[in-house]
This record gives sequence, structure tokens and C-alpha cells, in this order.
Amino acid sequence: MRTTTYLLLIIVMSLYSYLGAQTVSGYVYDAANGESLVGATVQVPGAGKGAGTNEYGFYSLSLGAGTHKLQFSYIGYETDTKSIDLKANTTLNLRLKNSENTLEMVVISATEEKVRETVKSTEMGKLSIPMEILRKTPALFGESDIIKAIQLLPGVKRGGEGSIGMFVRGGGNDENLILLDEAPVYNAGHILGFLSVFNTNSIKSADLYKGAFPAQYGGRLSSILDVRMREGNDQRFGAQGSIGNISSNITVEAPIVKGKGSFIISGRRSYIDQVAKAIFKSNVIPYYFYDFNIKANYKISDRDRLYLSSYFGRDILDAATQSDSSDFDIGLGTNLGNFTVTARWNHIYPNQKLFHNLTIIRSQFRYKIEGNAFDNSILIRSSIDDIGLKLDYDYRPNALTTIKFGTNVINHVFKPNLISVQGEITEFLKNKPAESITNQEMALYGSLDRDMSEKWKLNGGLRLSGSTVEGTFYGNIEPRLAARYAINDRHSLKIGYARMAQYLHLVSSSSIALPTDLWYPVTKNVKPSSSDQLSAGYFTYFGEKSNIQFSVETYYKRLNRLIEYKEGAKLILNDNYEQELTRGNGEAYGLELLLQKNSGRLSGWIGYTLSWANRTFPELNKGIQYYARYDRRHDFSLVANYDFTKRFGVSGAFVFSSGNPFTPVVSKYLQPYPNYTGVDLLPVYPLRNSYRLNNAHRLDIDFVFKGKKRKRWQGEWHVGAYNVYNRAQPNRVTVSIDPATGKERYEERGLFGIIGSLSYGFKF
Amino acid sequence: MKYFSNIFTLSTLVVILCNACVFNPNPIPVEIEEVPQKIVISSFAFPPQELALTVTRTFSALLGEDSVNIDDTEIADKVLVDSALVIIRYAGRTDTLINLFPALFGSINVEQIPNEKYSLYVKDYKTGESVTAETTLLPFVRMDTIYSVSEIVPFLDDTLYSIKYKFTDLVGTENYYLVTYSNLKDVSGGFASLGQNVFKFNDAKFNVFTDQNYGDGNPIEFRPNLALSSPGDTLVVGLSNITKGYYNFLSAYKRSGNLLSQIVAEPITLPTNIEGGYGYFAMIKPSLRLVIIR
Repeated sequence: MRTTTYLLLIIVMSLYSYLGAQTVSGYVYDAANGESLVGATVQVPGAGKGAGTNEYGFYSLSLGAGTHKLQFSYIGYETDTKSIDLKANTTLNLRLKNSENTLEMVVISATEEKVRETVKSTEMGKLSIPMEILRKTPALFGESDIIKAIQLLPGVKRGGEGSIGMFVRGGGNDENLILLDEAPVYNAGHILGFLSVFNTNSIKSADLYKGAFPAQYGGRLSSILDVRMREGNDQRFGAQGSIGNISSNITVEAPIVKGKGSFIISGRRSYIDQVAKAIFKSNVIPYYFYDFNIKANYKISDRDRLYLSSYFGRDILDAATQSDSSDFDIGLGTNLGNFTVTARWNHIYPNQKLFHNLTIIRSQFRYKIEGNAFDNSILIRSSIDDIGLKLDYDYRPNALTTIKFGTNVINHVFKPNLISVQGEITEFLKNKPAESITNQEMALYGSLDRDMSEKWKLNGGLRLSGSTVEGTFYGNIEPRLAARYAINDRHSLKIGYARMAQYLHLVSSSSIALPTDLWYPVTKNVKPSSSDQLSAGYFTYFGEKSNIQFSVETYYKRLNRLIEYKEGAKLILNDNYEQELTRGNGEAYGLELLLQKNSGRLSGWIGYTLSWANRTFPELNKGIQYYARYDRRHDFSLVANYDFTKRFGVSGAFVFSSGNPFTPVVSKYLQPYPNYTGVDLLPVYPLRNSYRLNNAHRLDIDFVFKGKKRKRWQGEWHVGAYNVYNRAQPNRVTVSIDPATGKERYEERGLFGIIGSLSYGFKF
Repeated sequence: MKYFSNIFTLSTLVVILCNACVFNPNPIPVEIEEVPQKIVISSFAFPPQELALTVTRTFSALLGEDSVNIDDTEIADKVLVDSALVIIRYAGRTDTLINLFPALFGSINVEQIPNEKYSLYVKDYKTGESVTAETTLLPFVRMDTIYSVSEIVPFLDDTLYSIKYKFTDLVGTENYYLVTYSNLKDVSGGFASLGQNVFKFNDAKFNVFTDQNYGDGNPIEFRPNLALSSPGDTLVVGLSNITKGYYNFLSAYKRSGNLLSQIVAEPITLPTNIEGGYGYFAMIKPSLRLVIIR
């Protein structure tokens, strides 16, 4: 209560102490295509005053009346300076030029500014990868993927080899909220999760929050991945795309009205099915995926802008076998994917200090499994449908203070496991309508970010979240606090605390991931989970050009009321899944180091994580604490990109990780049936996750050859290889015969060996 | 365009072939320390006072179902206990079970007394290991009606044979029931047939119930899925009132027993009441009924 009173007091003081100041506000755009720049900085050199653009590219800076010099900078862009005679509230929109053809010094200056901002802000536990670096980073099948690149950063552990599963600071894979233009994405994977649904060419930014969460984010315990789509070029028609081993994509963008609005359309399709068909003259790989991203925006006025964006993607398996004899007709098909629509209205209020973003969200995930045998058919269908409304305010009363507040509500409709059968099979398997489960999730939040002194900066926030289901309301108070102490211009210490609540759970087997894994809301019996995370860090930058950033973060996270599945639980098509669940707690703690350089001929990062993640469930493992599924003691990654010339570069990624814990079968026994008419062979397991696989390490490389720049056409070839030295990345233990001795032995196997890739990217 | 198409078709093919055939990484041999062998107990009672007990040992997880052939002397020697002291104590009496076949011990003198506590002691002479266990024989429950049913499965052009039965829940307590289904030919030979059949891999046929869903003292009616029964077979159906511990053991066993469960369900080590070993020592007094499948 006392904390809340202090917060209110600070807010009121902030509102009144700067009455009379004039405000300059506006958007910062990319000069080449009109894309708004997120995280650009606007500074008054020498005055110690400045502001950053928010996630919509908006900034607001209150200054005394008079002439001021404003410096605009953004990483990878030429720094620009404008003089302004401030007599009244003023709108100043600025377009920064891309650094491609500018002097390196100017770019370095922008990079330095960005690095400095990271050290100066209260933000911690936030990871961002510039899209340019992402495109250079080597990738499985040559398909650059934002989630896989994030997996190379400290604090984020990948799941199985090649998968997009993320285990952030000891959390589970279902504890990550993945947002695409603010719409939740429930299934972020194509090809059973080997590729994410995000087409790199359509993405503008992707930020992962893993701790010290800002108050506007909530809904999951361990991370928020906020992916924003590009807005499209409002200056001229352009296109880009790539042709790869697995899929190809193309993106087209153009102005709707030059300088006022634009659209972008991206499409991607895998074609291994078509290649196989061409080679083998039959449908031997009856699988493909495709997705589309569409976005349009229009500036109604200097203070109003509308956005409409949508994603649609599907994974399709269509395996049918029909012999010459009409009696033999068996088929299996699946069709699953996401559909999202986001409509947004950005508005700057006349006082130039208040900005709002109103969002209407529609998100849908559906899967369908169809099978037929002879005259019988079966159809299983499940879906999640969300409709939500979100209103976010950003108020900047003065150069030292940012206040954010807002609300959101989302209605979830779950329809799990509709079963429709036809034919004689109905004698044994009954039709089952999909029973709708409806629940609402809502939140109200407010936060204040303020420079308290030269040394201290505070960010305090509160999020009130809740969910209603079956006439029951669950609520949570989620305090957020972050503080920065600046040792000097180059060094700072930060501390953060965040409570998060989660009202949805993924019902999925821990053994294998299936498309039938379903999200379910909290119920009367399954209460929401929550987490408390305390983190602290040291941030600095150095180097001749001040473009090398180093950070150390440490965290302790407590996970409350987690759910797990009982031993022997059956989860497939099980509507009574609640009976299979058991509840417990978890804890995670660790240390993360990140050394990052985002500019110059040599760019990349070195990341290291030392971490522990445990779970304690009274009904599991005899109540004894055990290691979480992806508890790995050490994770190390080295990602380096080096441009030998303007047209030739190489990048490499070396990854090392300690072995995953697992539960092997340690012995077996014969168990006679209760009536003694036969016997079963039963496994004996040791304590859960008490054994470890071997360490995994691999090297991926990618060479890029850029073609000569013609008038507009720009092309580049990527030739690369995954797992260059062909080492198995252990993910399972099998029993096989030792060729030397002829006796059985245990072996650890991986999924992929060396995989070459070739792709061609173009832009015009 | 054709140039690009050819390049990518070729490179995709190369990627697939390289990964599938040439560059599949060598698996990494790994040592998983072999855990010490433990004694495994299982028990089966016939009315009026016969008791059979199997005593085996756990063995290496490297052995699969195909490798576990008890006719193989080496395997049998490792797995089956044929030299052990097996003692049952109850109601102030002590009975020593005799070895009938490798791993099978029996007695025809173990009286089945409702609500009596039975203690088991087993010492394996070969390894020196010993285990103990305790259980209680619960009151007898009678099968009321039982009859054969059949159902035609048209699309398989087959007929499904099964049975239906009914019994009445015992009043006043939380009850757990076991119903076993045995082909008469597998059990009619007494201990001799057990010795011949018990170590064959067949399909387990039993159900376990709790009375929670039926209401205290109400009739319980059930039709099991016995798709493998053939017309003319005579089934021995045994109904037993069992302890909660044995119910938990059998429920877990039922879940872990089939291949699909072992792949997609969560790993499970069966609960046990054997101190220092595995398996389950249970005393039951089944109500046995014969039914001819037709």
C-alpha cells in the first residue's frame, strides 16, 4: 500500500513539476521506406535530456521554450541533427537515412548511442537481434529463423535439436507468450516445430523479455516474445525474397499514397513435396506448409495512423493410398495453423505528450486430423478462437519521466477434440461434439519510468490481471520494479523484480510433441500459475569505438502452482485431462554473460549461461526435487560475422551445451499378470531426470556472396552448412548392437548430421 | 527461372541424400551404470488355500522382449530364482513355500482369512538379498450374474465376443475390485499350468474398479473388451476385493503395459509394497465363475 502511495505521489509530482514546458514529439522513420524505427533515440546533446521511440516509433520530449538542437540516432542509420525553436508544442517527424552508403563513423555513433541507452535504461532481461545480423547468422537448412537465433542468446535454451522450443530461465515451453503484432500465436512452428512461423523478410523487430518484465506485458510465467511485422515501403515499390532448400518466399511492398501509407505482402511455401514429386513421380512426401503476412498502414494525419495486419499459415499433410482395386482406400490428412488479425489506431493527443495505441485482436489456431479406411472415416478437430481489445497509453510529461498505462481483455473460446465418425466404425467410436470452453482474461496496468537523479533511475509498475472461467474468477496482483544505478557514463548496475501470472496451460506429453497438444484455460480445479523473479545485472560498454557491450545478469525465479502430468498419464484425446494433472512448484537460478558487437566488419556475440532449474511435485518422483527437463548447467554460444569485403562475408555459430537430464530405463523385470496366465516386461526407472546425456556442441557456417549492385536489383548467395563436423547432438538413448563385440550397448543419437544449404536472396 | 529451379532441385536432393545416407552422425556410445539386481515378487491365490508366488530378479535394461527367453539357461539363471527361502506368516502360523518350478513357489496350506494380515519374507540364497512385504486379505465379494455376449463387427467381417457381469458393491467402505479373465486351459492344471504359462508374453486380461463412481452398496455392471476370445472358449472370471495399494499398483500396471503408453505417456515405475524389491505381494480370495463364450 505504501509503495502504491509513493508511486502515485511521484506520478502527480511529475505531472505538475513541468507545467509550462513545451513539448516536441513525433515519429522517427526510415527515410528509405517509411518504416517507423523502434528504440531510436532523440537527445539534446550536452543537456542530458533525451527520449527513445516506443514500440510504435513515437517519441515525446518536453523542453523549456527556446532553441534546441535535437540529435536523432538509430543503430545502422545515419545520425541526424535538427535545430528547433520551441515556442509551443511542436510535432517533428524525422526520417533517418540507412547507413548503407554512409561513413562508418556515423554508424558507429548511432551504435554507440544505442549501446549507451542500454546501459542507461532500467531495462534488463531483454534480448533483441537486429534483423541484419539475423540474416547473416547460419541456420538449419539455410532458413534464417528468429526463434532459433534467440536460442543462441544467454538465458534461452532450445528444446530438441532443430526445434523452436524455448526454455527461458528454467521455465517450460508453454510459459512463453509469443505475440505477432500483439496477437498471441499458439503454435509457432512449421514442420513439427523445426521452423518458426515467422518469415524473416516480413519481420521488423523481435524482442524477448525474460525478466524485469514491463507492466504492459503479462500472461505467461517465463518470457514474452514480441514480434512486429514490417509496415511496408511508403516511398516506392519494392520486393525481396529468397529461394532455399526447404522453402522460398517473396515479399512485395509499395506505397498506398506516397509518404502517407503503405502495404506489404509476404508469402512463403515449402516445396519439398513438389521436388519429391518431380523426382520420384509420386507423392512420396505428402507434406507442405505455407504462410502469408499482410500489413497495411495509413497516416490519417500527423497525429493519427491506422494499421491492419494479418498472418495466415497452414501445415498440410495429405497422405492417401489407393490401390487399383477400389476396395483398398486408406488416407490420412492433417491441416493445422494459425490465423491472426490485428487492427491498430495510434493517436498523439494535442498536448503532444500523450500517445495511445488501440488494438483489436483476432487470433485463431485450428487443427484437423482426417482419416479414412474403406467406407469409414474419422475427423478430429480442435480450435482456439480469441477476440481481444487492448488500449495502451504512453505519457511523457517531461524529459525524465515516462508513464505507461492501459488495459486489455481477451475472450478465449476453446473447442477441444470434436470427433466425427462415419461408416460402420460408429458402432465403436461415437461422435463427440466439441464442447466449448469460454474464458476471459483481462488486465489493467500502470508503470512509471523516471530519472530520480543522475545516478538513479526507477521503473515501478503494477499489473492487475484476472481470468473468469465456469463462474470462477481468479485474480493476481503483479508488481513490477526495476532500478538502475549509474556508476558512471559507461557502467551501471540494475535490479529488477517481476511477478507474472499464467491462465492457460498446454496439455502436452513430455515424451513427444504432437500437433494434438492443446491449450486449456484454468478451471475450477486447475488454478493459475505464477512466478516471482528477482534479477540483478551489471552493464557496460567499451572498445575504441564504444560499440562493444558487455552484461552480466543473475536471477532467481520461483514458479508456483505449476502443472505436470502424473506418472503414466494418458494425454492423447483425453478430455478428462484434469485427472491426469498434478501440481507443484519450481525454482530456477543462474548467471548470464553477454558480450555483443553489432557493428563493424566483425559483429556478433558471445553468450554464456550457468543455470539450474528444479521442480518439486509431491506426487512425482516420491516428492523429491528433480531437475527440470531442459536444465543444462552450461550453455555457450559464439556467433561471429565477418565481412571480408563489401561483397563477401562469412559467419559462424559455435554452440556448446551441457547434456540434458533424462530418465533412462535402468533395469527391467518380468511381471506376471494378476491371473498368472502370462507376463509383461516392465521397465524400472531411476529418480526422474537423474541421468544426463553427453554434452552437445556443433559449428554452423554460412558464406555470403553479394552480387554486383545493379540499378535496383541486389542479389546474394548463401552457401552454408549446419553441424560442420558432423557430431551427433544427443537427444535420446537407444540400445543397439556393438559391431565390435556383438553385444548390446547404449548409444546416444542425434537427429541431424551435417546439412548443407544453398539459398539465393534478392531485393529490388 | 529453369536455371534456378534445377539448382535448387539438385541441392535439395543432395541435402536429403547427404543427411539420410552419407552424413548421418555416428551415435555416441554411452555407459549407463547397471543397477544391482533386485528381487521381484508376484502372488496369486486360489481358493480354498493355495498360494503361488513368483520370485524373479531384475535384469539389464539392454535386454529387450526378444532377448528374454527363459529357456536360455544363462537368462534363466540370471532372472529366475530357484533357490530361496519363502515364508508366509499369518494368524500366528508360519508356512514355508516350496519351489515348484524355477521362480515359482507354492503352498496348499495358506488359509484365506478375511481381514487377516499376511507377512512375507524371501531370501535369495544365490545373491544373499532378502525382501519383506505385508498385505491384508479383504472380505470376499461374490459375482452375482455373468453371461456371454457377442457383437458383429461388419466392416471387419468379424464377430466380437465378450461377457457381461454384475456384482454388488460391499457396503460401508471404499472398495477396490479386481476382475481377471483367464482361459480355462491356462489355469485348470493348477500349479503345473502356472509353471508352463506364466512366463509367456500374452495379452493381459483384467480390469480394476473403484466403487467411487457407482455409489456405496450399489450394483456394478460391466462389459470388458475381450476381443481376443473365441467362441467355445471357457473363461474363468475371478472377482476379488483388493486393497487400495494393490489397486494403485494394478492401475499403474494397466497404464504402462501397452506399447503406445510406453511411447507417449509419462514414464512410470510401478509402486510396490516389497521392501527392497519390486512387484506386489497381494492376498486375494477370488469369486470364480466359468462362462462359455458363444
